[in-house]
Amino acid sequence: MDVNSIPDIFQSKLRIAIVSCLMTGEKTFKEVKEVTGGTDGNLSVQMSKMEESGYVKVCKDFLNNKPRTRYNLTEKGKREFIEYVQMLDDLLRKYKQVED
Amino acid sequence: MDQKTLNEAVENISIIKGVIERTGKMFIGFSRIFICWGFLFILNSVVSLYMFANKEKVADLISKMHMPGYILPTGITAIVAAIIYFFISRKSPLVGLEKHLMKLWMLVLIMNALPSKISIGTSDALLDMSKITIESDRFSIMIFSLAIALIATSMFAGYKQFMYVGCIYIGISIINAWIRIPIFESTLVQLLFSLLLPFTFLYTGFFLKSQQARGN
Repeated sequence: MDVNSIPDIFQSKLRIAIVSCLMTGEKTFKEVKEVTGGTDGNLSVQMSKMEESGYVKVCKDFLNNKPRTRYNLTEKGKREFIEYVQMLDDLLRKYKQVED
Repeated sequence: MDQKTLNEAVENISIIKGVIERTGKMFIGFSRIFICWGFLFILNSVVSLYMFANKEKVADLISKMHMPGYILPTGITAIVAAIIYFFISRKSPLVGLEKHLMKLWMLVLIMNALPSKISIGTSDALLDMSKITIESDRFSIMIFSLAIALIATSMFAGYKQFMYVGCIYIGISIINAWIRIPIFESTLVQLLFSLLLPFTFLYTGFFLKSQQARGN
């Protein structure tokens, strides 16, 4: 992955926050909302996009008769996020070398 | 390399860093493990109290079955606790602060699970050892160790409530260790000993879970 081939998923700050949040394990919608600070509507739209792209796995069930949605990062999501962070790291290292 | 790309990279890295720091203070897996362990320790306490009330029967059973005394119930509880830990941490991996606090609590639990070693030496050959009753009291040590873990949790997680409970525990520990109060009879101490461990875990687990729900 390089600067010119960053996947569409990492073009939005909220989506980056969602993926970072899910990197540490399964989260409910409420937990993702707390960490990222996104609104219900915006989060739902981004989550659907990420599910369609195969980055996020959604699991819907009931807890005490109330619907609960849990989100997990897929292997593809994890792999691409690591590549993305490495790309950012390389970019900053190159900049530092140029500066020095 | 243009300045805009660089600024965006720095901004995105700070977003990722911020989110990971916030998730590190969430205690999701930690509170779940503590609640499950709390219920498990209640079961452990019930078995322990039964064993305490029927010492002779249990001693007879243990000697008949040729198994070490600490297997029941401590060994079985430890195995179930380990299974609970691996099951929950696989679903909600412990990250950041909760991971380090879990290590501390595990060390405290291991410390309390270690069996006491008592040896009696005598130069009097006529001394009838079967007439000697030895009672060891680990209550003060157990409650003090829980206080240390609670105070450490309070300092790192920033919840003052754990500090207050920890201070109460230290008070009880000191009273039991140095001041002889008639109401602190062996049965009451045994009851407190059995109840405090599950209470501490359930209180910590439910408190952290409630703070999570409030978004604190």
